Amino acid sequence: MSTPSVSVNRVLKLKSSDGEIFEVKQTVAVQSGVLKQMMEDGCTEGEIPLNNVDSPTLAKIIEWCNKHHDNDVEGRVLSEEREKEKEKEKAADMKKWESEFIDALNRDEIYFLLTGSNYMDIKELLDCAAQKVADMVKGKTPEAIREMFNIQSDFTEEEEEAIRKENQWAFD
Amino acid sequence: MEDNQQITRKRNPTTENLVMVEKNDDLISRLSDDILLYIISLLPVECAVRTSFLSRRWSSLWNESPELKGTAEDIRILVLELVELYNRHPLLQCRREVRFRFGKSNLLIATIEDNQKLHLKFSDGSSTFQNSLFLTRSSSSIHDLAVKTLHLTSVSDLTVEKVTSFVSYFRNLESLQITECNFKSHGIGAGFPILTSLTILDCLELTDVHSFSRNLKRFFFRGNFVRFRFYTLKTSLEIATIDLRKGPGCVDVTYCCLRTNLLAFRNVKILTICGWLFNIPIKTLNICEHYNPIVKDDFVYRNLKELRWIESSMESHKIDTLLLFLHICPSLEKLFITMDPTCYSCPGDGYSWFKPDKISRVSKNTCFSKIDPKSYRVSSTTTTFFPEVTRDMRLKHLKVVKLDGFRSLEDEISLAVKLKEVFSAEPRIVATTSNGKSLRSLVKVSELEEEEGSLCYKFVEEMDPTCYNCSTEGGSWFQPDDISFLLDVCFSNQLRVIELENFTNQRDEIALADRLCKVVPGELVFILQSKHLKKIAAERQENER
Repeated sequence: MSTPSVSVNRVLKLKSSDGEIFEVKQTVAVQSGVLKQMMEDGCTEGEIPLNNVDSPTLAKIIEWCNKHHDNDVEGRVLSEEREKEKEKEKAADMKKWESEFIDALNRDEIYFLLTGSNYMDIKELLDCAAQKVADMVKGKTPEAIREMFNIQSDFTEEEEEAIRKENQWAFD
Repeated sequence: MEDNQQITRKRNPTTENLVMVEKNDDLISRLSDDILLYIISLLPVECAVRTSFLSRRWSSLWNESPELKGTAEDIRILVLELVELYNRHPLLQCRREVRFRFGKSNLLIATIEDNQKLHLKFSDGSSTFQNSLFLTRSSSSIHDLAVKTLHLTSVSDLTVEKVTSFVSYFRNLESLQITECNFKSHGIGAGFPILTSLTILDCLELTDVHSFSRNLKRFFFRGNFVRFRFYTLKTSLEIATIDLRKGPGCVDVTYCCLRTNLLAFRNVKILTICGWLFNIPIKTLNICEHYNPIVKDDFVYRNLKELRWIESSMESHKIDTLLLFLHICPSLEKLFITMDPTCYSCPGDGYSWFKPDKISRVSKNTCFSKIDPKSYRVSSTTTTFFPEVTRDMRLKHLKVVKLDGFRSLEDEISLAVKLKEVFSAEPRIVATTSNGKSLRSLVKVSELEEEEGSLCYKFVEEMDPTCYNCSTEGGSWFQPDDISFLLDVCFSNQLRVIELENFTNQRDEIALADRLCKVVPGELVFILQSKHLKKIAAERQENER
């Protein structure tokens, strides 16, 4: 069994649902609550199957984690040098990168990112993706939301009618 | 790393939660509840509430109390949205709960229940839930917040402003209950035009209560002494419960506010009040009197049919105060006297501001304190203490007196005798004491009188399980002999009060009461063991009349 401690050079092999293998540094992988737990339990030998994450999504997730890992390392150094302003700048840059990252995704990719980050327990990514969905929903009528996500209304006609009335009122 | 931008992908069909994805699939609705609830929590309040319109999937999420975030300003929006939503939405008929975080660490839990009740609980995050707010809506016209019942609990300084901001929307409010609200230095002004019921419980910081409703019929108050103002009460208020067992509190009890308070209830039919109000020492009597000259006739409770009097003990001056009060209740039919040792008791020698000559002409020149409350038999000279009273004042309608929590037989008898002597009243007396000797004491009253029409007995029915069959229909709750005995007693001794004990179930009690009511002419009072049955008995009496 491997040592419980996270070594900088060690690499985890992640296997996506469609069988693709991704290599991730342990220091990066700790952002995933699930992987972190596995590392602490010392059961990261060989390929780690991630049955709920497909390869494009896993690629995105790793891209996110790598970026945040880099930022973290850099950020720590800077804070030690007491350059708080630069740290802030860094945080702003990260926000920008995050929004660009998430905005580049289409609706379904966000869905997979949500399930993937949820499955792998990467809270920050989940937050970011959920916020994206919330932003998409915000300020829209139910009809517009349905259209955007292809949500099929399964209400009865009477119920629909009542809702339409309600919305007329609500969005006037 | 491969980065496939294509939307349509083939996924491993053996793994759970994965699906064949086709273009235009509604993926978002397949997200787990946790994620969807999390997304909803990120939405602005009104937007979040409306996601329940999307589909049944989204609507069902609201069964799992999503957590929303916002500021204290959003409370109003949230409440109005929810009320509006549930006013019209035909789909949301089951219980829903929303958690709402606002401010630094405040939490509001809004619950809507089957009975169309909205319940808002506030918490400051550190302690258990302190504050809650209830709203009930009725189905009514569109564009109108048809909340009819509002229940506010523990609105604090922090939230009172937010609450009042939307409470004013409920113009159709008929019933308002305010419980344990401790916002400081606030009066409660109930400015709802058609409010019929106002209940204020345990708001110990309260100083003033104002109501502007023309229809206020029921007023229930429990707490410390406060100033009441009912601006249109003259014709409307019927039932007032002023439970001031907790004592005077922080409000300075002046003659003038006492007078105002008492006048506020002068048209009620049913009144509950504490005796100490009339014994409290008041310094500023004369000054206040000057500004508020009493219209003497106003101080008669002409419509009062039922009086519930709460007192801490049976000291003679306290009983005298009660007797004094009875002088201004000419229509009284039922008198309930509760001795509650926890009730506030005024310090001092029992000096009473409540003097007959200051109250009403019907009860002047009386001096009750000379009666020995311990005496079983009041001497015939007693009547001389009430020269005018006995002439002017008869409680001829008084039919039932219920005594609760009296410590001794002597006290009960003494009171019964006084009632007879002072008011020529011979009501049935129902006494419940802890030692269970009330039966004998009341018989004694009758014997002492040595007159006809001894009206009060307590019938203790000891049920024998062997002659008892609850499985048979209707008839055989107990032996026919027992019934004939009962009927004999009812007719010959004018038995009017029947207490049922040791009955094994409610049905038998009802059946017996029913049977006796049918056979015995006149009115029967049943004292039953369960509250439920008391109610039934009461209804039955109503019907009898």
